[in-house]
Amino acid sequence: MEQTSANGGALPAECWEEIILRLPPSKIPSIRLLNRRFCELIDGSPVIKYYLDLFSAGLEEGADTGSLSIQDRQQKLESYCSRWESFDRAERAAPLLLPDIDDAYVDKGFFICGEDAGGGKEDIHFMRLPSPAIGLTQKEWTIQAPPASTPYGRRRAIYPPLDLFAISVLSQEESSFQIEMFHMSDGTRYPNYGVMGFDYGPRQRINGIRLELTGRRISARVLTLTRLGRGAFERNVQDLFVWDWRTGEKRLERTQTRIMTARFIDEYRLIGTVRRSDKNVLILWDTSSDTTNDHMRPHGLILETKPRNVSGLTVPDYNMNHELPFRESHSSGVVAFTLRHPGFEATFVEMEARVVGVATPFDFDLESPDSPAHPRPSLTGPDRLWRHRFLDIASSRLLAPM
Amino acid sequence: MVLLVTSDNKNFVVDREVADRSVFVKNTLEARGLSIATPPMLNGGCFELTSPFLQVLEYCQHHRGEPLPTTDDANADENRKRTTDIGEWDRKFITVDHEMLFEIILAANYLDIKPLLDVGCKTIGNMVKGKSPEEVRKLFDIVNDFTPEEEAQIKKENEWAEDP
Repeated sequence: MEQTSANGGALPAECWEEIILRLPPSKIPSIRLLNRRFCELIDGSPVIKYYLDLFSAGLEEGADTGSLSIQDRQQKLESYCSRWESFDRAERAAPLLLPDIDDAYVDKGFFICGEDAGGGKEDIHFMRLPSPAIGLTQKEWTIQAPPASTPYGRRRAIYPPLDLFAISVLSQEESSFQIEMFHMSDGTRYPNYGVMGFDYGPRQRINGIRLELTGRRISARVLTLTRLGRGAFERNVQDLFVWDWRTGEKRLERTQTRIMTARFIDEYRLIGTVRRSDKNVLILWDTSSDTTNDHMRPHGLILETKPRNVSGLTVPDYNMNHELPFRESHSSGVVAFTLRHPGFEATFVEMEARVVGVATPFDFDLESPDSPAHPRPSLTGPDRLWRHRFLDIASSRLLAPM
Repeated sequence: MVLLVTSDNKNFVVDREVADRSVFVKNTLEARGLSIATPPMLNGGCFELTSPFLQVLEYCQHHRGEPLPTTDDANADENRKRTTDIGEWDRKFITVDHEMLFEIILAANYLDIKPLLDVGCKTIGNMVKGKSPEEVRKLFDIVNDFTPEEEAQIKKENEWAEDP
């Protein structure tokens, strides 16, 4: 086609509006960038705004929006809104359902909770992530407050089916938690994004709210972790609210309380990886500073993972938080590595792992793990001898049939 | 037969069936019971109408007799809007320079010929796809009148709105 330089500005706004309405919604922001006129046209056009909103509303369960009519989308949008409004009212009516959280509410689909960190400064963070359902790629997870001046500024409503979202609560001092993320469109869960922070303070207890949002239902749960002792927590899960919006079933009362004891072992440090043809083996050493006497507690773990999982991991970069549901015997579980950053940014790597071996102080020919003559070996400090010793043990166990 | 008069006083005698492709002309004729219409007084007459009008007529001739999209069938209307497919004949028809393309869109909008408006708008949409804002500006001779600060601000807003 001949590339004449026609004056696009000569076309009246209503024609450009027609053109823009035929573009994929994801393209519209870049049109906004062209110049003032286009920016004002898009921001000032109720039709385009409506189009974007309707498009958003059509994302339920990754629906092919191309086959949805405007009427269908409008209907969906309205029904979503009314559901969220009801949810909002329910939450407001029962504020006591949210223990230890100073401030929590639903604002047109955003479940926002926060804790006042003092000085009246609200530490409310949420994020909005681009949805793959509109052909966008998922980015690295970074948790940050959106700029206040954006159309999606603080507490500004975004319709629930639009995106993934995450809510995090920064609480005081060492305890903090993040809430699991869910994809509104297809219901995919990202459970390990809800790595809980641990409260080593005098409270011995941490509460968190986990909100599950899927294409089918919303449920809110309160997780309470009570620290029983070293490495042991009682985990209390309470369903507060379940709403299946397909069937209309909703349960608001605390019907289900599951208590399970789980054991959390934290602050392992990855001290080595061994690559074998079909798997990777991670060797971890417990670096907890807690010295409670616990003979049964392993001091080193040998984890086996699938090869693809550990590419790019380097030893000194990763601390590890992991949750393994074991009591007497070690078993498999999902391990989440957390790369810690100052502030509230975090990158997670999660993987399936199987415990293939443990090492205890006895393996180091110590009479007793807590013998004063034989202080606990430190692998993070200068005591490299212990580290090599442990690596030896780990390697020999790997070669021996389990 | 209907007599159509353009804003630059050219007369066209066309079949009623062809003229009726334009909802504007159709309604005007029906409302007045006339066989003469003076359709396009566009934009204060700054467009030379004859040449795009000839194009529009060619389009109407080709698509004569096809069912007109009804306004109450919103579903079909939406589907038509959303699909990016353009028919073989239409694609050849719309392969014109940008200036003519704009004028055809303008005429189609004014004369209310929805399928033609679709073809024109989608063609522009296809040109815009996969192009950076700078390329789009160049393509349509659009002057960037943002200050660098404003541009940065909008980019920032867009990050939250959509993936760049």
